[in-house]
Amino acid sequence: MTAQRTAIISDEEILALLRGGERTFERGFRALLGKYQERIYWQIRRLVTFHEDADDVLQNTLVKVYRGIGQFEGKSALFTWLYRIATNEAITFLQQKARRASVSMDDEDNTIVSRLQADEWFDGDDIQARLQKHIAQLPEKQRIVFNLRYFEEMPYEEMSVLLDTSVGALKASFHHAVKKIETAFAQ
Amino acid sequence: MKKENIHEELEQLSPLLFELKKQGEVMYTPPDYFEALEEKVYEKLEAEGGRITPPVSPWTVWFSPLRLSVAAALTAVVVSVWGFLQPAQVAQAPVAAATPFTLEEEAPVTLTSDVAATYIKENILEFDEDALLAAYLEEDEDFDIQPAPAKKNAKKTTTSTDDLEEILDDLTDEELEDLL
Repeated sequence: MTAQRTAIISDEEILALLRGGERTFERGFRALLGKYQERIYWQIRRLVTFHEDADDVLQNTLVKVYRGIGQFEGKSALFTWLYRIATNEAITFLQQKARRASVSMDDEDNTIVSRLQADEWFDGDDIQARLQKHIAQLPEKQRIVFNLRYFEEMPYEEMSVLLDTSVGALKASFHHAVKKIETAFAQ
Repeated sequence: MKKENIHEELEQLSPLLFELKKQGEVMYTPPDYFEALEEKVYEKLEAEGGRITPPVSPWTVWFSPLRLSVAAALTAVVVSVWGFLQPAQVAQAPVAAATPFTLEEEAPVTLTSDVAATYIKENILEFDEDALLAAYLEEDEDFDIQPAPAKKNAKKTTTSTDDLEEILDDLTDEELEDLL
């Protein structure tokens, strides 16, 4: 299925293929990948920072989607459902990584900066690398809101539906995150 | 609610982040990463137990939004057709009650003028104006509908010859000379 075709296929068509039984399920899954894989990848990458980690998390996410699509009842938008699975997988990954690493917070932050500077899939300067470090230090919810607003430029109204949080709370969360990052840069 | 632009928002909140954002994207993916992703996912599925088509809940199949929408549309069509048929059957009843004939009876071949006039008078609105006029002009002997008598105080608009002679007879010689 070409990228152009998947760009115009609707969620209803995808779900109809996925629910059509063995005959059409594979076509539906491929259509879902074509339409959403890139967007979901970047949601994950913003949380885990490195491409290799994002690749692992994304594959785990898509396997879960493949096996769990039968439980999707359509109460939320398809992307909302995918995004929540991806975010949960990314958060779980970071928690497991932190437990495995068993290093101090300062060491972990410096590791991020040095790894990024050596990462072939990161083309930023030192300030951009420090920005990633400061984002990684944010509380989980603030980090998610910051990534959606700063990198994805998602409107608050859309974010409100995605995260099931009021617009006011999201604005406050983003503003707090911005202030924390500015303070971190100033130190 | 006006949608706040992220750039405007950042410019107000943090000039530093505003400048950093203007530098654009600094993270990248390997070439053809997304083209190869599908195959990698299927390999992972095979490694973890095979590509078994997940069971689909019959609830989600039979009560999917699409099926429910189609069922609702069909129901609306059926109800509309049934409703359309209903008024036509009801409307016939008042007409049947007003006329001296029932729907099952055939109207008599000959009508008396009194009965016809009564019927027409009671159902005047049911008749076509042109058809009524045409029937009147045809002078059908069964329908001896007389024109309405002239009103007493109706103004005469023309004067006959006899009337003129009467007027002249009443005038004096002097009045006649004035006229001439």
